[in-house]
Amino acid sequence: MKITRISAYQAKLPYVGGTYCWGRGNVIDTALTTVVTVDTDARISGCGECCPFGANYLAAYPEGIVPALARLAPALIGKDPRQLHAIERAMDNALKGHVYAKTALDNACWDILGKACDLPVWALLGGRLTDGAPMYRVVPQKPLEESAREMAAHRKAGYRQFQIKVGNDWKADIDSILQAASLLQPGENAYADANMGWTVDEAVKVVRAVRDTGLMIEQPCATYEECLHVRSRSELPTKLDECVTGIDVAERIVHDRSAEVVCLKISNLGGLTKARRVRDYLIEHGLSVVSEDTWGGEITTAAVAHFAASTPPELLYNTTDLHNYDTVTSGTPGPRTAAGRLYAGEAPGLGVEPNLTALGQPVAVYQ
Amino acid sequence: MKITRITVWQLDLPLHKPYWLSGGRLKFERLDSTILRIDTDESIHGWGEGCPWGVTYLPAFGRGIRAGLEELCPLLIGQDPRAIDRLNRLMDVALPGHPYIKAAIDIALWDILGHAAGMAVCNLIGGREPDPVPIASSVSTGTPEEMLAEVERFRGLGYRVHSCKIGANVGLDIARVRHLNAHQRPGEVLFYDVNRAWLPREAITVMNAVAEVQSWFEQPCETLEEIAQVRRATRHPICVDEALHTINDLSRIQREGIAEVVNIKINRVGGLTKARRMRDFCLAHGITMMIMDSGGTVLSDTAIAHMAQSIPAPSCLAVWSCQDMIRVDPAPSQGARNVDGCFTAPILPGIGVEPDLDVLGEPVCVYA
Repeated sequence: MKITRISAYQAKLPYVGGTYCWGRGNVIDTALTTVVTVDTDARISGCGECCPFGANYLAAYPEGIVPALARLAPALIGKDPRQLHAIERAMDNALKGHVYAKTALDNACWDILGKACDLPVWALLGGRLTDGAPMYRVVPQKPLEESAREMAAHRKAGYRQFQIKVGNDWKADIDSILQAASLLQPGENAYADANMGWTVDEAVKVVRAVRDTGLMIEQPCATYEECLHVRSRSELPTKLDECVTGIDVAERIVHDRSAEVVCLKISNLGGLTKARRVRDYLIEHGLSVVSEDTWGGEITTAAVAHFAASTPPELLYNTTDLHNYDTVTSGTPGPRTAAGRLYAGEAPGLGVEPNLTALGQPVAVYQ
Repeated sequence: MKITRITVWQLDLPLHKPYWLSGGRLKFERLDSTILRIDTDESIHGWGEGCPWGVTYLPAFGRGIRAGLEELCPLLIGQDPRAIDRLNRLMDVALPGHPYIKAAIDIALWDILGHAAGMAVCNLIGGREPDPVPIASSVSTGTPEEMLAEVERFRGLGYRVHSCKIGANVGLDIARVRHLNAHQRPGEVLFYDVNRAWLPREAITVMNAVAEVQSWFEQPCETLEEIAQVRRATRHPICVDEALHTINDLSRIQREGIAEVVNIKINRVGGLTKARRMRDFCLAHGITMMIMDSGGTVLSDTAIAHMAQSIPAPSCLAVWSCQDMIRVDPAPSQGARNVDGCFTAPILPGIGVEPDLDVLGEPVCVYA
């Protein structure tokens, strides 16, 4: 089997809630997603998606993907897409770094391999270990009674994990964390995600002030080193996210014992091939992981769902139904969600096909 | 002073001859350079260049620079170009990572500041040190005899520092190092640049086999973790090059004692502003530097000459002259040039290079 054509599509994905605020005063309402389709001479096609969260969240921006594809795609034409490690090496030899652009191609090749052997991607990743991956909801930051009502609704819908969005104003963040802690019931947990928004001294003040809550703190500062510093002054569990860019960082986390939970964003790692390697290293060392991505539609979420399904349940912290955060559909059908859980389907490959109505004409075709 | 316009050119830079590195794993025949000019409302402008060494040497490619400039340039229009740290922060917030995209802009900002102040850039970043800075040659991977012939050719051009590219074949690498070392002349420096090609096992084997060689090995393996492992089992000084991207990498290199020498490539680390920060850290911790670009014309070469010229001689081992390897010169007779194997930063204000518009041709993009 040989790759004969690679097409790239782009579409805007508006956020379902209007404006999304994160970290230190960042706001986004629409993300530009890129979907690639990989065609073969065996009448099997695969798809993959990469959707950076704007240009300023990670070292990834949507307009950077097509120029990188112009380098990557020609290196893959004529190659066997089922040989995932050969594909990975071909991409890494054609272009150093820029792993986010490689993600869509890598995931599309997993899709093809699945279709070629009539197995869902979770089966290729090691089998279904988690049937229904737990998801989280954001703790409302409203007056106490109103927040409690909304939390009760989330609870009724099956959610047991809650994210507290912080990272903008450290003093207000302390209040948010304390209030959220007071809303939790037994068996529920919450974590405060600063999305890199605090300086080290702010983070140290926050973790001291909320020490008695026992809640987990996620990515307090921008760099790994800063987070490590905060960790050394904290008794709270730590979750690392944005700084987790590869196996080298995973190695440091294990070595430094710098986190209990590691968020694996598939496009921050370079696709399922590299993400699997990082996940397996971490879970071998007893660390919990999150299966996630920066943003994206159904194709991204399908990859996230398969990755989550193949992760042991005791070490899968949670996952995200990214496709339910958008008003535009990048592919159909989207992975099923029910009672606060995300399910990977039984269909071969990723189990999703691009929604060409929304994606329109390709922005680039390589053959 | 405000930025009014940014004009971008793409320039193909064919090499005089094909070039191999990383033990022959990577071949290069042509570079893709992006040159830009930042105009202001005060009849002062500045020039910068970003030129990755192909697309496989570093996580940087020419088309990527121009795609990133589309994001960054509109943000810079209307800003005061002299507020260089402020604009670097602006760029880092708008587009995290991708430092190679920002280097050309940063260099042009320093050029403007120099023109505004009537001072050469080396004087703005700490002051001009008296001595010219030796240029390291770049000796392509080959047989021991081919490599010595190449060293000899560079000797003819005045070079006394030679970066000999090895890697990928343990037996041949030992032969290369021994042969070159045996023919080293008094006053000459030969060092061995592996460009990430070895596994730790191979690095340890070669370096211990040539334990008597008084030199350092540059970027023996891919990652800092691997290099740290090699360090523990060998005795030579080590230089980190490709694995140094940020000041966090540098502080880790110092903290964990991974290297005595670092190669600060200005376009890799994001420009003169970030390179200056690394320079100061190195000076504070006794780490020796080489200051280079990843490629480019006399414009890039002259930017690195200014940085190198601001470093006390014992702490700066060498610069690099990419202009000697390419067939295009957009600013003949200007800027830093090889004089007896050394660069001296120009005394003109700014970077001191004004490219010829006829050589640059039509711009590929104008932001206003």
